[in-house]
Amino acid sequence: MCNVEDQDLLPPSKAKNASRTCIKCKEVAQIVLRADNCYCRSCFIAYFTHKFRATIGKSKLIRSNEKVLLAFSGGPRSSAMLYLVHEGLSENIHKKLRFLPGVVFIDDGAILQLSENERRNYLEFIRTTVSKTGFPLFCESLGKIFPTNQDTNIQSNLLSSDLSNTTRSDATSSSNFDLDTLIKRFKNDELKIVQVFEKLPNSTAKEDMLHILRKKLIQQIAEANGYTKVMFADCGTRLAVKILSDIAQGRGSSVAHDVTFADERNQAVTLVRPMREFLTKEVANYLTLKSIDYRTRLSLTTMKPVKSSIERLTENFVTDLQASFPSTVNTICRTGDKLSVGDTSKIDADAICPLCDSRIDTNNSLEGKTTSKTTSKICQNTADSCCGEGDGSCNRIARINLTAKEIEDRLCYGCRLIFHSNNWEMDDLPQFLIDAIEKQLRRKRLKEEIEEFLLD
Amino acid sequence: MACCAISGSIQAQYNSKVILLPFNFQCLNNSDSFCVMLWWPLQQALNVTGNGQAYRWDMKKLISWIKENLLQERPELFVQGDSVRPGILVLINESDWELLGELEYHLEENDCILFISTLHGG
Repeated sequence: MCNVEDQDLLPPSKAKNASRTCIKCKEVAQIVLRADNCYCRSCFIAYFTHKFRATIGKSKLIRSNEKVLLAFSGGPRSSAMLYLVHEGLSENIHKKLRFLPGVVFIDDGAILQLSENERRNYLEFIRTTVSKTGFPLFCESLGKIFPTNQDTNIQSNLLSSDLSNTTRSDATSSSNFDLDTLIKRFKNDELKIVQVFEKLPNSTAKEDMLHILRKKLIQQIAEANGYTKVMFADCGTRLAVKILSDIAQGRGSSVAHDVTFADERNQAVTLVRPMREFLTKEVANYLTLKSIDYRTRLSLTTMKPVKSSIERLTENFVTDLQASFPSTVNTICRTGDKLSVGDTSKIDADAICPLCDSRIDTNNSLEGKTTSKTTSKICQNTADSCCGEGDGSCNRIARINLTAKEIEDRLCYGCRLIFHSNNWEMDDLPQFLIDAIEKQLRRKRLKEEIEEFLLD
Repeated sequence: MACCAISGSIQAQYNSKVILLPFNFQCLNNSDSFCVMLWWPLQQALNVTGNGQAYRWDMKKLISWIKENLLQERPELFVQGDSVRPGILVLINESDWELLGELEYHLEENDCILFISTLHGG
């Protein structure tokens, strides 16, 4: 009974491909999704659009006239998503999408070390693409996550960088000028973040940090502008990679959140993933058939060897496996789906990692490993980060003096690894993180103070 | 995540629409399209005579030609064995090459061949 015949396990042999026909309409097929699933052009487009709308509709999460922000990078997946949303809103059909979209673009050119010219071209592309849809566009540099002293108010800055205003008043010469000032402002914001990224020990930590900060900034922008949902264009293949690399990086506790359709860790802004049922291959086919313009996004590991980061290595593993076993991605995603998030409302606010918003599942077992490291760091860092007055007069740390240990204790295991073996200073931490930790600490102190007066 | 660097000078030399390589926007200054277009070498290739006999290139030959002539760095990010790496989608006239015999497909004149990287980072 337990005998499994060998040939069952072998990858399906490459089919002898005489001109095959579409499984729906029996026309000549153009697209192969997996071994025998062939589609013709029109059936594929219908299938793709239907799947997108069905994923949104099935969730019943997005109400009509709700403000939804689309995270748009100009890459293949988000370009397809933007197109699908635009199409879904303009058509006069019964499954019309009924929300009010806005588009956000986060420029991470500084971290990818793009030249000014490349960044200008890229921004220009983003602007023209989004202006075709007529959605409002928010453009911000990733450097914004480290606010400079003058502009702590994120909202006012975003309004000024709302490029859609400038595009509507056409005039190409003036819009060119606007891009220049925008890039200049971006550069000003980015001094800090470039330094911080240089300090991170390896590309795994850099990629991880980039994802976290980008997500944070998008959430901040959404919140500041009254958007309650953010759509990310993660597709199935990406999610499969994310599940495996999350586990490899000690982020097992956040896997469930990272793959569900709706990630509700942040109470104000929910992240949704309407593209999660697609494979990258389907997206690429769709883009080509619809001749949608997109840019190939560079990443931190572009042109680097396969083993340059955990994420990269995992992607390689998944795509190699997917080539011979076409259900690999689906299997991984379905497995991820089975992990349940649990009741988030019951979680103590103290037990949430302020950096990645996931639940902290580490306990003392981990601390033995990090204690010796952190104690030596306390001495070093308190001296570095404060003038010694301890009353905040040096303004480097407002109100409460945080020690490295206090900060590290508040982070989840995965986030601790980002800062692992790294001589970072308080200054290198984004303000939102320091604020969140201070808040947690104040609560904790207050709790301790009133503890004896509480009834059990 | 794989990315193939293709020299910018190539696009200046060959300008007709036979092969499109949508890899890396860095290699192209006019970023309206990702195309590196080749015409001349194929035109020549289509009429090459080996042993006194005319033959046409198949995809296998094309991929090895691209590997030797276009890829400057890390060809392993594009090629694996005789074929392309998993994760790179090959479309011949907008049809999946799996339907057309993959490596054995013989190039026709004016074929439009797209190599699309579906990997993160291009």
